[in-house]
Amino acid sequence: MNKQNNIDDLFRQAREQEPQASFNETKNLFLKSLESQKANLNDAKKGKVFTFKNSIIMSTIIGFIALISTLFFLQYSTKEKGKQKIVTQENTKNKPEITKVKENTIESQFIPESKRQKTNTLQLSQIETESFLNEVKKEAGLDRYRDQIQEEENKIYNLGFTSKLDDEYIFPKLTEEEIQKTKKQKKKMLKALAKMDRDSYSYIPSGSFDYKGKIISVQGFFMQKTEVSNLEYRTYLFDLLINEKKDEFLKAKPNQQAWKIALSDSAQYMIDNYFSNKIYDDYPVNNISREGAELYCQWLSKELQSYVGEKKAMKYNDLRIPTREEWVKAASLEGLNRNYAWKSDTIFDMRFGQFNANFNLKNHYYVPNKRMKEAVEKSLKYYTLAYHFSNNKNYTHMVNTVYSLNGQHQYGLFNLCGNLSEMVIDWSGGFGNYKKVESQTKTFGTAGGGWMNSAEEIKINAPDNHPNVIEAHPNIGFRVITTHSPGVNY
Amino acid sequence: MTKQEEFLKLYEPVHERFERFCRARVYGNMDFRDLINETLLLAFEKMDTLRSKDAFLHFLFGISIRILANSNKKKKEEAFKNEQDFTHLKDVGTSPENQTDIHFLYQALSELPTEQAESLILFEISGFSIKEIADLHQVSESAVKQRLKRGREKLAEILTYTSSLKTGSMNYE
Repeated sequence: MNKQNNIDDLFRQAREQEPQASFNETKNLFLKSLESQKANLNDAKKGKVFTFKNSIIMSTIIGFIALISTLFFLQYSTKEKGKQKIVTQENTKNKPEITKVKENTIESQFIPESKRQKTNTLQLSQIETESFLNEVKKEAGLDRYRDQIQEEENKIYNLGFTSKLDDEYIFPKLTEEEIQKTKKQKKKMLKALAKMDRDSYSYIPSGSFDYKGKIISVQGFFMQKTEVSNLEYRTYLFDLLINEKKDEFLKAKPNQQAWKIALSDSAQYMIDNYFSNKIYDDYPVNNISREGAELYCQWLSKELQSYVGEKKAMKYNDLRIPTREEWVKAASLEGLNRNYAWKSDTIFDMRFGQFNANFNLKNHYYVPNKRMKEAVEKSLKYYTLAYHFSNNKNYTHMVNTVYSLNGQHQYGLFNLCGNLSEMVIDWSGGFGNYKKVESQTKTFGTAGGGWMNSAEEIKINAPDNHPNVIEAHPNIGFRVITTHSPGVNY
Repeated sequence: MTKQEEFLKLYEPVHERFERFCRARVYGNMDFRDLINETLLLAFEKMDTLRSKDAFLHFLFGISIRILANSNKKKKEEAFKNEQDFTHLKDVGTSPENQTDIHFLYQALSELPTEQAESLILFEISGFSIKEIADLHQVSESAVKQRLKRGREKLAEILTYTSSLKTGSMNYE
C-alpha cells in the first residue's frame, strides 16, 4: 500500500511539473519546420524549371565568360605587376602579426597564386572589365540569359556570405525587416547577458584544483551554456553592417570555403546554407577565425556597456574566450579527474542506448556488438544534422542538445566535449591567469574536440586537436565567458 | 484567420498536457520536442479530417501514438550484462546525482511494455479516462484496466529496486 501511495505521489508530481518546452518555443519550431517544408517543395518545383536544355546553355555561358575573363586578365597582368609589388609591401608593413598570419594562410589555402595577383588587377580596372564582358555577351547573343544567371547567383549569395567568381566581395543588403529582427535579437542577447540569465549562462565558482600535477586557482566566472550559435554570430555581423563597419565585417565574417577542409566535393550544401539558412540558427557557428571570435567578444562587451548604461557598466567585466584552465575547471566539474564533461563519464549511455556527445562515430568508434551497432545507427539518425537533410552525414548538432540525462553537465553546460572544438587561450607557464604576466606568452588552442574527432579526442584532457590554429575551420567554434564581478547578483 | 493560426489556437490550450505526455512517453529514447513537432506537422496536414474542435485533443494524441507505433520508437534495450562485451566503455555504475524522483518515474515507465507505459501515462499524467484510452488504443476497457493494474505493479517493483540503488543499499559495482 505504501508503495502504491509513493507511486501516486510521483504521478501527482509529474502532473504538476512545469513544462520544459513552452508553447512559444513549440510554436516557433513548428512554424520553422513548416517553412522549410515549403522551401523544399518550392526547390523541388524549381528544379523542374532547370531542364537539361537550360543547364547546357548555362554551362556554355559560364564557360565562355570564364575563358574571356582569363584571356583578358592575362593581357593586363604584366602591366600591373610592378605597381602591385609596391602596394603589397606597403600594406603588410604595419599590420599586426595575427592579421598577417591569417591573410597568408587563407590566401595560400583558398586562392591560387595566379589569381591573387590578378585580384588587384581586377580592382583597378573593374569598370573596364564589366563593360568589356557586356559587349562580349551582347555579341554572342548571351545577354538575354543575363537575368537567369543573375537569379541563380542571387539565390546562392542570398546573404552575401560567399564571394562572386571575380573575388569582389558584395556586402549583404539588409531589408528593413532584417534590420528590425537584428535589433530585437541583439536586445535579447544583451538582456540575457545583463542579468546573467540562468538559461544562457552558468556560474563556475572560484577555487583551486589539481591540473596536470599542479594546483591551479581560478577566479569564479560566468560561462555561456552553449557554443555561440549561428544566429548570435549573424546578429553581430548584421549589426556591423547596420553601423557601416565594413572593415570589421570583412575580418569577422565566416569563411564558408573552409567546409572543404572536411567535406571536399560535398561541401556545397553546407557552404550555401549552414550559416545563412534560418533552420541552422541554433547550431554552433564555425569557420570563423580567432580574430573574428575576439572581435565578437569585444563587440558584445561594448554593446553590453551601452545597454546597461555608464553607472552600471563598471559592474561588468569584458567577455572573452576562456583560458584552458578555466575551460577545464568548468568541464571537469571543478577539477575532478574525469574523461568527459558529464557525470557518468562514459561516452555511451547504456541504459538509454545512446551516445552522450556528438563526435565522429563512423571512423573512430569500435562497435563490438549488434546492440551497440543499432545504437550507433540510431544515434546517427536522431542526433546529427541528418535529421534536417537526407545525406546522413555526421556534422554539428544544435547547441543545446542534451543527449541523455547522464550527458547533461552539472552546471547545465552543453557540448563541452564534442560538437565543436572550442577556442581557448594557453598561457605558457601560466595557470588560470588571463592577464599577461611577465615571461608568459599567449598562444591559441582548442579544447573538447568536435564532430570530426573520435571518442578519445574529445576527452577533457586529450591533446589539442587544433594547436595554434587561428584560421577558419569547420571543427572549431567558441563560447564566451566573463569573470565574476561583485554586485552582479546571480 | 489563416489555417496556421486556427491550428495553433486549437493547440495552445492542450499544449501542457501534450507536452507532459510526450516527455514521459519518449523519455531517454529521443528528444520529446521532435515527437511534438512531428505530431503537430502531421496533425496540421490532416486538419481537414478533424470532425470537431472538441475532438482536437483526442485527434492529437491519436496521431502521436500512431507515429510512435509505426516507427518503433519505443525503448527495448536491456542493460549490458557483460562488461567484456565492449572495450571502450567503463561502467561507473553510480546512480546519477541530482536526479529528481520524476526522472526515476520516467525511467521506470520506459522499462515497462509499451502498452502498459502508455496507458499509465495517459491515465495518470495526461488525465484521460479509461474509456478514452480504450478508444485511442482501439482495445476494450477491460484490457486498459489490466494494463493499468499490471503496469503499476511492475512500476512498484522497479522503483523499489531503483530507490535501493539511490540509497546505496546494494553493491552496484
